[in-house]
Amino acid sequence: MILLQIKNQSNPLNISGVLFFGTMGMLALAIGLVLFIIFHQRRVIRYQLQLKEMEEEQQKILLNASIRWQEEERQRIAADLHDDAGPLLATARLYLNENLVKQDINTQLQAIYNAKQIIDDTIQLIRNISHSLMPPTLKNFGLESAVNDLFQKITGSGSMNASSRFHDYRQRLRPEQELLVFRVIQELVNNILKHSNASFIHVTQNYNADKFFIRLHHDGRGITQADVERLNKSALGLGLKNIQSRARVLQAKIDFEKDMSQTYYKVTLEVPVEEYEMIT
Amino acid sequence: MLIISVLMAVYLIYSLITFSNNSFDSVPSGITAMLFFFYCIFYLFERVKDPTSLFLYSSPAFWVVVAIIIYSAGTFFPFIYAQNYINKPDFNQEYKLIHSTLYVIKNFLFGAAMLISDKTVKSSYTMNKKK
Repeated sequence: MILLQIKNQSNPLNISGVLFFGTMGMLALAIGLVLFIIFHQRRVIRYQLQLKEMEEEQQKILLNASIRWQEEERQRIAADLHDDAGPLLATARLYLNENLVKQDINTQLQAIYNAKQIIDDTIQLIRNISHSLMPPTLKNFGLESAVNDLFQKITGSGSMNASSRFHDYRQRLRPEQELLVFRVIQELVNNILKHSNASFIHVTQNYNADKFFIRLHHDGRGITQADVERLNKSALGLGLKNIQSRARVLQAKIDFEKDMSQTYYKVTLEVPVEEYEMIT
Repeated sequence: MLIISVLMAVYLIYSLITFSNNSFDSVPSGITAMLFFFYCIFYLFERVKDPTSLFLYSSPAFWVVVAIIIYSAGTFFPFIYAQNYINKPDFNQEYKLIHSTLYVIKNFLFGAAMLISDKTVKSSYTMNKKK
């Protein structure tokens, strides 16, 4: 229609102006659009780069935390072996020295009995170290039993009431997944024991729509997602970083929040599980 | 997009067959210019949306598209007025000035695209040679 109207115009008045300004306007529009697209793309690329850098930074922090944790764990095991097992075995060796054959039979029996006691203690100590590395209950009976075992020990100490309820745990997770979930629970419980001053911990488990949920409630001083993000940027919160790096390995989501009633703190671990990943 | 292109092609063939006047045919020229303009803008927006694409201006296709955008946007008004006023000396002079300038710019940008393309070919050739 516009073209026809222009065609029908008989008066060429101002044609030159329309042509000039029209062309300039169209060129300005075209150049403006091209520039807008270029700058927009540059901004998008810059934003993506920033995002990538932040992600790399986060990965680096998690990796450092993981390495530090491993070193601390090695130091702890080394200290346990050196300070406890070493002296015990050295004492046992003292009892069983060459002079023992020259002693009378009663002294010999006493020395052997003492050495036996010490060796039993050493065996127990090494067993404890081994259990702390890989809990046998978890390996043999699964996550539910391992968590119950852990909570029985906590409740037994009298410092806190710890309980758990597994609603849908007919099928076990894969062993490596179970170990990671257990370590996350252990670390969370450890943090609660150390920092929260809570009077109870309650863990519930659920399975829904290919997702394995672990929820942990406590009534002490807790942290929310904002605190976690703040701690992630600092060198503090090694335990939290370990939890997150384990969650990342599990491809799980972990949320720290305050309960709806604003009384309890809640941590939710959401592990994606496919049917073939579960073993009966 | 494909439907619009087909319809446009049909219309252009039709106007080519039916156009008897020796003068300039403004309607198909104007519509074609606009169509090229929108297609090129659409292409650029599609490229921006692609997260894997590098900086737009590092590809020869970008300069070809910019050349077409500038030429089609700049010639739109001269084209739609040409049918009625091309015989008027003042208009004719202005038309030629605008069209020739844009034509030079377009070819200049095509040249830039070819140079970028040439550089890419050369660098990959050198890399292969080094291997």
